[in-house]
Amino acid sequence: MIEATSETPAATPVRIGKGVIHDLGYARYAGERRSPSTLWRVIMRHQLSQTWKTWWRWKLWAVGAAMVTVTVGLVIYLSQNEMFEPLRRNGAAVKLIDGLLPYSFTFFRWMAFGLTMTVGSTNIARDRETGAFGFYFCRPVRARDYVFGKLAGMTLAMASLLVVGPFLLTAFRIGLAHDTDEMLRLLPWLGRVLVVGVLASLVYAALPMAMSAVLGRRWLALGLWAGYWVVATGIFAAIGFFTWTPLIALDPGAALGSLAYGLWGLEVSEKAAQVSVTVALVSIGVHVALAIGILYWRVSREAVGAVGASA
Amino acid sequence: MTAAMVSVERCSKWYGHVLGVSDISWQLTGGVIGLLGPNGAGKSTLMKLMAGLLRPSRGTVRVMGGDPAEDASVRRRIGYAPEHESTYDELTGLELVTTLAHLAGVPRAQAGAAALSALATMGMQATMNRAVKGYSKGMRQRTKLAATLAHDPELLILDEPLTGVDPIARNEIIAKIRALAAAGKTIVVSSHVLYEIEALTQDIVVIHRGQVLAEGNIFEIRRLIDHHPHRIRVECDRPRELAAAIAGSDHVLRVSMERKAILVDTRDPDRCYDELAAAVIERKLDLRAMSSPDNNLGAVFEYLTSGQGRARASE
Repeated sequence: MIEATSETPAATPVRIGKGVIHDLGYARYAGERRSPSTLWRVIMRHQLSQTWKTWWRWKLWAVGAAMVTVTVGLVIYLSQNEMFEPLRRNGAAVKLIDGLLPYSFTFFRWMAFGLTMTVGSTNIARDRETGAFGFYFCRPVRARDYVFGKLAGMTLAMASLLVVGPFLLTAFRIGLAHDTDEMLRLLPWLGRVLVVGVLASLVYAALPMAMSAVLGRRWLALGLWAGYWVVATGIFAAIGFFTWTPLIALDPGAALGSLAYGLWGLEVSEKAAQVSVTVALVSIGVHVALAIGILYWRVSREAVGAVGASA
Repeated sequence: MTAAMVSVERCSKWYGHVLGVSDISWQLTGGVIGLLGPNGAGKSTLMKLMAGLLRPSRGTVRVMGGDPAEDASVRRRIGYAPEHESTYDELTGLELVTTLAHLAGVPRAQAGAAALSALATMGMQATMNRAVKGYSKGMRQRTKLAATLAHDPELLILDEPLTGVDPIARNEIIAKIRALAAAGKTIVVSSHVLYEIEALTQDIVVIHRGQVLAEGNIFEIRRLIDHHPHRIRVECDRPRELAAAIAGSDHVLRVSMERKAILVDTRDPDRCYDELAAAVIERKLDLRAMSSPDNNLGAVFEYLTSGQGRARASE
């Protein structure tokens, strides 16, 4: 019927088309359906499998983290009685075997930064740019399922770099204990390494993804993240160094380093480069919460607001 | 009356100052519906509104009684194939469709089988284990359609499913879409290529500048545009004689000659067909063919989107 123009408020039913067509044997899925509340796990698994697909996205940095683990392990084994000047405890230098473990987070964080450059910082932007948002949100996926799934997937990928290696090194270090008393004294290190590793994984997963969600263009997001992590955080650290030390915590990397040293009771020789455990934890918490908030805000807006045919 | 599968009530969507669709009211009860309009007409916007990917700025969109933008259980019953197809090209076709079936709520254990069945339906068994990045345009479109089907939705929304597909693949996809409609699916297909829609369905909705210009059966629409000159081609052994017989009628605007045929432009096709038939019988002409070259979507669309057509349609 031609009468239904845009000025006509009453909708006109469109008739069912007729034709001589045969069912070609399409096998319909008639089984049960998952609850939407479990779909974040599908997104998490998809994130992990898709990231694992190519050698340069995740595997490269996993190999790097494995090399760091082996190298640091060798140094710990071969230099058990060496002193480690950059770190001190109660004003005195500590043994390399005790100081190298928290210090080694610096190397693992380089690998994590690599993973943010190949996956994390372009993750959401890629989905927005290619139109994958449509594939997700035309299905019963909600914004929170997407955010939680992506975040969980990236955090697990990051944990493979920031938790596994340090945990193995800690276990190795505990294995080198001279007696049972020393071994028992060192056992809490496993908990500490998990705390630092998990928090670092969250930081390296959430921050670049938030930037990725804000910009929505892969190369811009990549540039923003690299600029922030390499330049901006360095400026924050310098401001803190020359003015008020807690400002160093504006740099989440410095906060993570301070947390590691603080949990091991170590201090950096140059004290102005370190903040307390409390300040470090607050900084990490605020950074992660802000990043997740921004991520959720952008995704929930985009989920029902894609523009045009190919957005 | 059959409950509406899709009900759009006075729906408008703006992107800032840009108008996507404007005050559209429309109901769809079933079958294959062709959404037709030039690029930028608002087809994709309307489809995204139906798929729950956009919220209307004004008005309501109900699909199977629910709000697709709010209700995840409604989206589970919708299969939407967007126009673009470059998403996770490093995955194989089977992995991609399995993941998307899984995301649509099919449990992990059954998602693979559902994906396999959908890919087989679209003729992708041989290539489904290859990475999508190596697929041709036609294979990508089939994979996208398989992903749309895998969770067995009741409503399929296919945005330009035939774009860039070679003729053989196009015919196959058209056959698949029609088979799915015969199997009970409600399908909304968009295109700006007229003959593609014509091959799929006779029920169309013409959209232009965000407004529904016309809707219904293409032939009904064509008939309702009775002031639009209608062209009839008649092939016979003595065309000049037939031309002379018909030329005097008041509804005939023009008669032109071809080698073995005449072309009649008329304002009243029904009367013209009757008079042509009578002339053929009376003069014992050898009638070889009679056709209406402009009784197709191209003519309707061209007429509707012209200023003259729009003026007629709104009268």
